[in-house]
Formats: sequence, structure tokens, C-alpha cells
Amino acid sequence: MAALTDVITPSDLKQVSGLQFFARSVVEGFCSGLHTSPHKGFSVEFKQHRPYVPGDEIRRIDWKVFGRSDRYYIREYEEETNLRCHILLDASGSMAYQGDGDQDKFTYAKRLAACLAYLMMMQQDSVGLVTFDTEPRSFIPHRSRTSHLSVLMKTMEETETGGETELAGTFRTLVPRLHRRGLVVIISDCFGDVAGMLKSLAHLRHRGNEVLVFQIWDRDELEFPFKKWTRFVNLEDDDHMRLVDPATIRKSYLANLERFRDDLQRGCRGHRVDLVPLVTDQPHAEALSRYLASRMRR
Amino acid sequence: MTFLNLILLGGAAAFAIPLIIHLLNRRRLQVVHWGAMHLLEDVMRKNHQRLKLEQLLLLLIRIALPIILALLMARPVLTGMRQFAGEQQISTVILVDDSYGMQAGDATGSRFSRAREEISQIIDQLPRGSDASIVLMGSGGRTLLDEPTTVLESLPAHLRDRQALGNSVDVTDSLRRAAGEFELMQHAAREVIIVSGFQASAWGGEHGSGRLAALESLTDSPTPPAVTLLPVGGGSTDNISVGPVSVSAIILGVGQRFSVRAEVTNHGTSGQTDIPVHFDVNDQRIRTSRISLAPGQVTQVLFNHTFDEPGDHHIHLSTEGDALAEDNHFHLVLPVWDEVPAVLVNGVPGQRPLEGETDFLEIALQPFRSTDASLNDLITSEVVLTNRLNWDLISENVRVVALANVERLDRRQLEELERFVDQGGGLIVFPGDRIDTAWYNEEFHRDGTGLLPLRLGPIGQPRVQRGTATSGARIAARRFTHPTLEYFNDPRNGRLSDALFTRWYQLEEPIDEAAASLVNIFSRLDTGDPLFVEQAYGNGRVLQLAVPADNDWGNLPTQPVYVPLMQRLVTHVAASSAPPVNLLAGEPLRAIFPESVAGQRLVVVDAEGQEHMAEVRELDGRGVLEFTETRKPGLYRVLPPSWDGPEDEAPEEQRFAFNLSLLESDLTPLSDEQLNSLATELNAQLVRSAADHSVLDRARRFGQEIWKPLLWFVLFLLFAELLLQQWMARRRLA
Repeated sequence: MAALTDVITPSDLKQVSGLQFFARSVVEGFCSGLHTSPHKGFSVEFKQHRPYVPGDEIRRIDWKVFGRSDRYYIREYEEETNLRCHILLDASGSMAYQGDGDQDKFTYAKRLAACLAYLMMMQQDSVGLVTFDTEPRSFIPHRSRTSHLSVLMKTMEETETGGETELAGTFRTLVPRLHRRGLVVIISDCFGDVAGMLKSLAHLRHRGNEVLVFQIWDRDELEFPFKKWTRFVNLEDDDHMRLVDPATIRKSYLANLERFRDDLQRGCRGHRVDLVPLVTDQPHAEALSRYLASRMRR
Repeated sequence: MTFLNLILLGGAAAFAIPLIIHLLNRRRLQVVHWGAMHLLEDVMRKNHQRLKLEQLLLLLIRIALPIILALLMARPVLTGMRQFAGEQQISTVILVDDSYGMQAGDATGSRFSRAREEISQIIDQLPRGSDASIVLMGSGGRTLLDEPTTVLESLPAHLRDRQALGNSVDVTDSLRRAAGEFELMQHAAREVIIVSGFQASAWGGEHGSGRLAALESLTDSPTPPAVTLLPVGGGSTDNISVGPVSVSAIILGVGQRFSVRAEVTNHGTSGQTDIPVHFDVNDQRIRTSRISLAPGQVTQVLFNHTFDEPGDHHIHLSTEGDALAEDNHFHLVLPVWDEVPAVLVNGVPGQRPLEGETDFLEIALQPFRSTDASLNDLITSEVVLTNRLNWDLISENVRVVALANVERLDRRQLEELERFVDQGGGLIVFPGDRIDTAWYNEEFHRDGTGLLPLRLGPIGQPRVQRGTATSGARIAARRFTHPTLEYFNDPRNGRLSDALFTRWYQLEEPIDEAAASLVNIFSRLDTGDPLFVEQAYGNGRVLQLAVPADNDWGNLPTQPVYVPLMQRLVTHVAASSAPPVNLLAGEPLRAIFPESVAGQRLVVVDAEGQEHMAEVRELDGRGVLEFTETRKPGLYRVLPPSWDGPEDEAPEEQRFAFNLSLLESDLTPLSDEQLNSLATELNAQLVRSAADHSVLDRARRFGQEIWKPLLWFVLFLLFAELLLQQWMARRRLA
């Protein structure tokens, strides 16, 4: 089955029905390639059979086993381990950057969040959403009701960028409010203090959370392709600007970038946090597959 | 600073072009709203300062380029070092080295001819109305013309007639002469130009002090002249010179064998072989020796000869085969006398041979007669006792009187003796044990107005050292400069210090400086006491010894040196009345005649055979002829005056020899470094040619044009801009 996105671009879709539609088209298109049905889910697992004792609900008797062995056995399941996921969406100023591409980093991030939320809801998992800059802006607790999805989508659509990226501070206030042993998906450019952020991630991990970080990049930020004299104005602070001949500093910039990414990657690996760098010109489906792959590993 | 093309300075406004381009470039910038500021910030922190500096440097270079270029085209002139105002007229004194060393040179001409060319160009360049004078530096400074001239063209013409024949340069005197010339000149702007070969031998360090003093007298004036040095060196420095020459006797007698020892020096840097050295007497070649000389080597050549006739004989030593011929000749005039009659006054006659006071002396003065040899003695001596000394004896043709241990003379004898010496006779005084010291000091010395040069003191004894008396006193050994003792500088001629004296008179040296300057103590004992003392008295000369003529007080009479020493002492006092005949070129020639000749004009024949007239003037009861045009080395003859008396008494012609000082023979010029330090010492500027001088002169008048260094600076900036840009581009690409 051809995916909807094959014929209609996400930008067109955005105009039609917003994030939810976009997410559905992406996720369904994505899932159509998988062999196992996503509807099976991961959270309802068979555990063992045990002999029937009086008082057990009749409907929990496994009649197939009775047919084979002429004995009553109760079919026992694992506790219903519905996945509790919180998506942390960075809405700081730096996420507003848009290079030559057709979307800024924040749009890309919102869409990614929408896709993930949709995918998880379809798997009966419960999903919550936190948007933040220097501190959490909105906090939507996780629910697994289908109607919850539209709440998430609406919140995301209404969120605008602004403020500075401050992951460490955000997490400090946020962590106590998150469930233990849940999944935390962070969608951010991770600009800011690396050490502080890693400390927060460690804190999350310590509480038994699975952490997955999607780091959003624009191609310009990775390649620094500017040629002419350029005035760089800070997206997070209009008064902060730099006049630069980009050609002369490109080499140092790239080295600096490399170091930043390296530090981050090493730190995440140390805390068993998956760091997935994404560039805004990459399709979201790729991001989803990275997500699923990381889920399968556990 | 002024500008020759002030209008072009406006071009400096072009500096605005790169500035505008730079500013426009900055205005055309794009604005990017950027998120990853923290990545950029790190880079900026590290690089911003340097980048800004690079940009600023590049901008400055680009702005500087049009400004300096405009400055260059406007031809700026530094007026700080300007000494003369514009086309102001100038008084110039050119000191030109005309010493014979300037005759050296190469195929294109001698140093002197180059000097002449340069000078004529320099004079050509002088502004109209300037005055100039030329001072010739050889043989002492002298001016080319009698006074400075404004007819500038005449100077090169006069110089053209000149040849470099002067003796060595006399810088001190020449500078003084230049100062004198400036006093006669009109303009406030003044310049001294020294044109010379700057030979190290004449201009080296040891001549510095007098030079500076002379320069000070020149620069002390309210308008001190600018000093310029123009070296005209070049050419080969190979050269051979003959001289100095020494002769074994001061005066020769007829038939007396004598030797002439000449030094031949190779001043060059290459060896010379088979060089002929000719020995000519009275224009006749007697002998030729052939010698070889290594670079820098000095060789002595010895010739022996005997004269058959009395008179002034001309000896000419010469060599040939090198480029500089002037110093290949050495001339010598030797007076040859028939005889020198001497009277020896014996104060203490002896009974047996060699016991008398004068016995040793008599033998020493006429050794050949004493041994019945067939050879002739120059000196003929007559020994008399004290009481026989009278005017009749000594007025008859006697040239020398020797007093040996004479107790005292009576008043008449003393007066006659004084008259004898005053008229040109020679007197030698030997003391002894019999003399009346009081009479000697009071009558003979007479507080310095008498004949005796020094008062007699007590009798000296050998010093007592460490309890034992030394055997005696000896003649203090040193290099002798007195003509009688010079001969003994060569150890082959005997050693004076072999003589030992057990007693001697301690002659009292005058304390008064004026009195001391009248006597010449030319030899001393090693105790410091005077031994030989001479003093001029009238036209004659008195020689006083501290020791007797016999061997009572020492062994001198038995030493081999006794004969030549006494011969030379006697001939020296005998010849004292005759003026010197062997002179340095440039020194004045003086010929002495009887008073009766005064007022006559005589002919002087110079070294080239040209005849000059010179007048004999009366001076101190004698006729004296002075002739100063003696710069050319060689033989000069003064022809005898017209004579009315008997023909056999007619005076003969007098001969004089003039030689170059050999200072200029070493042609090696000062090194560049030495020249520079000489220029610093004289506060002078160094130019290499007349063209250089004209550039210097223009700088002195109008200031120094500095477009050349500016041009270099512009080129430097261009390259710097290019390199800086390339370097920055390479960093961008990296």
C-alpha cells in the first residue's frame, strides 16, 4: 500500500489537517512496511498456566488446554505493562532556526513528536507531553485514551518558540513529576551546558527511565556554508550579535561543533541514553525507525 | 620638508578608495538569525582579536599605498640636512694630493690625471660667481694660484700643467692653508674637497692628531665649511723604491775609499726578480747590481767608491722596471775635500809613544800616514803645545782645533780661539787630569756665553753596587740620530758600548730651558751623565767630551770604534759651517757664499736642467742664496758667481741633492672601512666621483630627495599586501 506521503507532501498535509493527519500518514506509511502488526502491542504478555482453584473467574479458564488435557487451567498474564511515555519538546528560541530547507527545526521537532505520539497511542501506550525552554511551559500527563492524542496535537500546534535552551534547569523541576520506569523522549537541539544536561539525563536514568534523545540539527549548523560577511543574531537574545567573515572561522567552527557533538555522544553513551541526531532534511520515517529499533533492543 | 611637485600630493586623496571599498563591503553583509551561538562564540573569542587585526592591517596597507605613492610623485625633499641655500654661490677650496704616489695608476691614466678630471668636473658644476682655490697637498700645503679666483675656468687649466711630483702629503699644513684661503674668499657657503689617493702610509691613524687640530681651526669659523672626501685610488700597488741611503763618512777625502749602502724596498704584493740597481757618480755609471725582492722585502745594496778630485760629487742610485718611476731614484751629494787640517793642542806631552795626551788622537785622525800606507788621509793634523797656540797658526786654513787636557789658555789665546770658531772653525775639547776646572767654568764656559757648552762638575766614578764597584761606565746604547753616531747604528761598524770608562767629568746640564735648548747632548753614559755635547758658536761649532783623548780614564782609544768615531767627530765640527746639501724635496735650498757675493743674482739649475735666477742676500756677515722651487727630486746646482780674484781660488759650483720622503712609495690605499672612519673623524662626506659630488651638492643645497626609499617602501607594501592577502585566503580555504 502506497503511503499517503508518497503523493502528498507533509507541507501540503499541514494545511489540510495539521499534525494529527501528518502523523497518521507518516506512521501508517511507515508501519505498512513492517511484518508484524503494530496492533499486537508489547504490553500484554502471557506469563504461565496454573491449576484452577475455586474462586477463580470462569472466563479465565483456558479452554484449549482443557480440551487437550481434560483439566482446568487458568491462563495467567504479566501485569498489563502499558508503556508510559513522556515526550519533552524543546521550544527554545534556537529551535526556530530555518536554513534553506522548507521547515524550521521546531516544526520538524513538533512533527516528530506528533508521529511518535500517534505511533505510541496506536500501540495502546500512554503518552504525555512537556514543552519547555528555560523551564517547562506546558505539562500534559500521559494518557492512553485515543482522544488524548488530539489534546497533544493541539498543544503542540499552539506552541511557539522563545526563550533560551536550558535542559538542565528544566529537568530538575520536571523529573519529580515524571513516572518512574517510563520512557522519556527528548526532542531538542541540546544547545547549552552539556555537563548540566548529562547530569539531568543521569538523574532520569537513575529513576529507571528509558531516555531517548532526538537531537535536531539544521544542515547549516552542521556545515556552516556561509560565504559573505554575516551578522549572526542570537535567536534567543536579539541584542546578542556577531559580525563575522564566515570563511575565516569556518574551520574553527566545525572543529568546535565536532567537539560539542563528541562530548554529548560520549556522555549519553556513558549513561546508556540513546542520542539520535536528526537533520531537518531527513524524513521523519527514519526517525521512527530509529525509535523502534531502540525499543526492540530492550 | 618641501615638495617639488606639490600638486601631485593631492593624489593622496586616493586613499579614500580602498577605505570606501572596505566600508561598502561591510555594508553588503547578510543577517542570519542563529541558534548555535554558543558554538560561534567560542570561535569568536579565540579568533576575533586576530581577525580584526589582520583586517585592519590589510586596510592600513591599502590606504597607505596611494598616500605614499602620491607622496613619492610629489618628490619630497628633506631640508633638515640642507647646508647651503638653493643656487647660492659658494667658496670652494679643493685640496688635491699631488704627491708622487698619485703618479701610480693603470692603463686608463694615473691617479693624478683622474683627480684632475674630477676636479675640472666639480669646478664646472659650481654656480656662477662662486670663487674657488686649489691647494696642492704634496711637499707641504701650497696654493695653485696666488689667491682664490672667480675665473673658475682658469683653475683646471692651471692644474693641467701640474704633475704629481710632490713629496708626501702634509694634511695638517694643507688644512691650515685651506683655512687661510677661506679668509680671502667671499661667500658664506663654504666647502673643502679633499681629492687624494688616500694611501694608508700617509693617511693612516698615526697622522691623526695634527690633522684634527688643523681641521678645528678650519671649522671654528662662524661659517664652517662642509668637508668632502673624494678618493681617486685604483691601479696596481706594485712598486719598488730606492732609499734611504747611508754613507760611511760625513766628509770624504780625495782617494779615500767609502761605501754607500742603499735600501731597496718592494712595496707590492708580487715578487720581483732581476731588478737592476745602478750606481752612478757624476752621471757616469760605475756599477749595476741585480737583486731579487720578495713581496714586502727590503734589501740593502752596497757600493764602494773612491773620488780622485775634491768638490761636491753627485751620486745617483736608481732602479727601473716598475710603474711608479719617481721613487726609483736617490740622489746624494758628497763633499770631497782635499784635506781637513786640524791642530791638536797637547796639554800633557809624553816621553814614550802613546803616553802623550794627543797620541791616540793623532793616530786615529790619520791612520794611513801613521802606518806608512799609500792611502790618503782626509785629516792632516799638527800637534802643538799649549803655548804655541796662536792666531797665526789657526787662521791659516785650519778647520779644527782640538784641546786635549789643556790646563788653561791665556786671555789672548782664548780670544783668538773664540774668533776662530765664530768664523766657522770647529773646536773639540777633551778634558783631563791637568785641567784648571775653575778656569774652564769661569772663563771658558762664562755662564753659557763662552765656548765651552757645559760647566764641568766633579769627577764621576763607577757606581758601587752590592758592595762591589762596577768595572766602569759605558756609552748608553740606543738608536743614534746624530750624524756622527748614526754610522754606529749598524753593528757591523763597531759597537760604541764596548768602551769602558773608569772616570769622567760630570758635566752640569743647564736647568734653564732656554740655555738647555742651545746645547745638544747627543750621547750619554749609562750613568746618565752627558758624554758628547755640542753647541753652535757663531758660524762654527764646539764639541765637548766628558772623557780625555787618551786611555788614562778608560779604554775607548783602544777600541776599534775609536778611529771612525774620532774621524767623524772631527769632520762633523769641520763641516759645521756648510749648510746641508742632502735635503727632502720641497725643502728650501740654502747656499752660503762670502759676504762679497751678496747682491749678485746667481743661476740655479734644477733637477730638469732648467735655469732659475736667485739673488744672494746678506745675512750674518755671509751671502745666503735661498731657492724654494725644489719639489722635483734630483740634483740642483748653484753656479758660481762671477769672480774677479785669482782663478785657482775661484769658488766652485755648489750641488744639492733633493729626494722624496719614501712615505708615498707604499701605494696601498686606505680600506673602505678606514676611509669611512677617516670621514667620520673629519666630519666629512665621502663621494666616489664628481657625479656623486654633484648629487651630494644638490642635497646640501636643496635637501635630500627621498623618493628612492619611498619607492622601495611602496614596493614593500605591495608585496606585503599580496602576501598577507594570500596568507589570509589560504586560511579561509583550509
